[in-house]
Amino acid sequence: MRVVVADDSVLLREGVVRLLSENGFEVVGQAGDAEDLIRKVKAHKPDVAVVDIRMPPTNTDDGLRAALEIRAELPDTGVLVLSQYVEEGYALDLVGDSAGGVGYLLKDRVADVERFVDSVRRVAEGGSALDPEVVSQLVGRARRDDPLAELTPREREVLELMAEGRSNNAIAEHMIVTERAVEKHVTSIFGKLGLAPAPEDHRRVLAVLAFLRA
Amino acid sequence: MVATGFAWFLAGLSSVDVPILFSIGLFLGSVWVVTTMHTLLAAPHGRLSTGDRRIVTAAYLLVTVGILPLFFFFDPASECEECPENVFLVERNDTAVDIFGTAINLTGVVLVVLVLRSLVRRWRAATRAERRLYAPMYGAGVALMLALIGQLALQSAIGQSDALVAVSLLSMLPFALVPYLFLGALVRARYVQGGAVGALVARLAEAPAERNLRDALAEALDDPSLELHYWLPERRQFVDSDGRPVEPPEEGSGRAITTIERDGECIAGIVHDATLPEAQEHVRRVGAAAYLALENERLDAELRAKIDELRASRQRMLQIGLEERRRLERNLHDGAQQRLVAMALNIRLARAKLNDDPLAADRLLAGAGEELDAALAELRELARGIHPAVLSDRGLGTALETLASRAPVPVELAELPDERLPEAVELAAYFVVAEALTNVAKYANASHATVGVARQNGRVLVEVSDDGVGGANPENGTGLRGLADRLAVLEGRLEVDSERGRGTTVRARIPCG
Repeated sequence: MRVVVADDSVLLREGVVRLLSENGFEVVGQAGDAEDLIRKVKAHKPDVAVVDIRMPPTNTDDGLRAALEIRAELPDTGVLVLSQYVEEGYALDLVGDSAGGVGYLLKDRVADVERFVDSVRRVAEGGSALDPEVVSQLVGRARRDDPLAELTPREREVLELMAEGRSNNAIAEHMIVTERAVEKHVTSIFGKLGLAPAPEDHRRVLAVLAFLRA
Repeated sequence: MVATGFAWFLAGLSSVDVPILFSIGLFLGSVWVVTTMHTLLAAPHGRLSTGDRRIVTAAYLLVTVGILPLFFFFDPASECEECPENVFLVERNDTAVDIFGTAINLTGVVLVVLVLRSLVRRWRAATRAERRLYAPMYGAGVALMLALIGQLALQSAIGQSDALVAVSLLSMLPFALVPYLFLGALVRARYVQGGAVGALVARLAEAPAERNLRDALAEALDDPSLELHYWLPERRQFVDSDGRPVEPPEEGSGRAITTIERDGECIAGIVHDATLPEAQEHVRRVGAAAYLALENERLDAELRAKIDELRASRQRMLQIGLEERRRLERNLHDGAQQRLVAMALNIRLARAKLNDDPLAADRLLAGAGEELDAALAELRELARGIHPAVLSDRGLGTALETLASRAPVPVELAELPDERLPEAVELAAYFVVAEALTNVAKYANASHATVGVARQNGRVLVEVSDDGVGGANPENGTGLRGLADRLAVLEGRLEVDSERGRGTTVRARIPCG
């Protein structure tokens, strides 16, 4: 899989590049600012771009804006944004109306190599990867007449893992249950929240996010 | 006074020969005394206090109804032979006449003493200016009352005599003077008041810049204790000329405040000796004449108040800054730093065991990893508290959405600005909402809160309200106080409505070009 990595901190960028290279990715380009990133992505057409949110020129959310641009212009290129802080608003902006090929993770997740690599791969393959922190912020929001209160703790856990973009298989593995059991939970959750069942993982993410942000 | 004239005329009837007129004169011959009392007590404003009204009513009853039995038994023939007969006479009974006469006289003395007491009290309560005006009239009144006491006492003690006649005649003098002195005082009052306004205007025109406005007004109103309070509409508070907050006098404290207004806006209050509403009208006229000077002084006082406020708020900001630093240092020291130390230790230990005991090394490294995660999470939260990145990245709207979604109480976002505001304004508004929502979560016991930010008339209005228990006092908590200071730097203001049981509304107004 071909990757472009963008981060203005050389130390971190080199770290991510080494990590991805060691785990079977081909890093085709590196960028130190948003403009450079867009140029390299357009030139190399990678499967996925790993982008730091805070980058020059303005050092605010340039990385996020570049990511949105890439998603709009090159829908086949996955974008995984790394952020120093949990900002569910950013994640929701980034997802927009399609949760396919998109990810938003806290920067520290890089340290958990296995999960990080899995997330990059998922995004590259057209899936989604939302940080558990972001999801728990969305789920934990105080609501009036909270419909989530009807979920069992197990179902809540499944809901969160679903929102992160994990497949039933991955959820089953994580919770140490069978895939059948996960499927049953998912059906029950969709029933309780009044959502239409979605076949693909990333459509499911979108449905759940739309529900959570409402 | 007119009634007194008629009553006096009635008394004159007692010298007439026609029996019926003579009888009426005899019967109503004392009414004039009471009308005079009435005039004295009602002067100068024509109204009687409740106590005075009781005295006057009792006196009227005494000289009309109370005196009746006397006339059923009194035969004038007992005292003068040429007098016509009393047409009301039922039966001559000298003993009854004596008894009733004495009783009536004694009651009369009591009433006259009460009138005297009322007059003395009035004198004590009067302001200097009033005393000067009404002194002659009160003097004549007191003299008349004293003469009446003498007259009644003599009549009871020794009956008709030369001394009694002398005292009666003597009492005629003050009686005759009362109306003239009263009229004189009224005329003089108008004259003095008109003159005071004229002199004041002249004086202010001569030296408008001098800070002698209070003295000029004190002189014009002849009240050396006069004070000026200036109204600061922004603070809704009176201040003195140095800009220090002052409380207007309470009712019944002997002092009154008369506000001077212009175009419906209060400018200043003149604090003076408490007097009746008519006198306040005069104070108001004098104040209106000095309007321009008062407005100048008010602006001056406002400036001083603002300087004081700024000084105090700067001091507090400094304090807040110091405390904030201390808090940050503590958080860093107790949190992230400790974790990093522990992590460094774990890593070194793991390195030492790497070859001998790989399992232990793995455990140590796992521990180090956990410490690292926790340290990162803490640093993230700390950074958010110092300055939320989303605020500078995306502006107030998005930042408030995040705040709302993190609040433990459901928060409804009403109006939010879709444009970017100046950075300082956004930050201040953000902290207002953050602090208010923290308070909602901590104290309000609310089921939900509403946040709104609107731009209006060159200001940003930030409002956070909840449906909780209310009763928050901005003076008590350091949080709200700190907010007020933060806002003061931007010339903004903080209001807190928090009636017990009615929820709390925190409102901040920040000027924004």
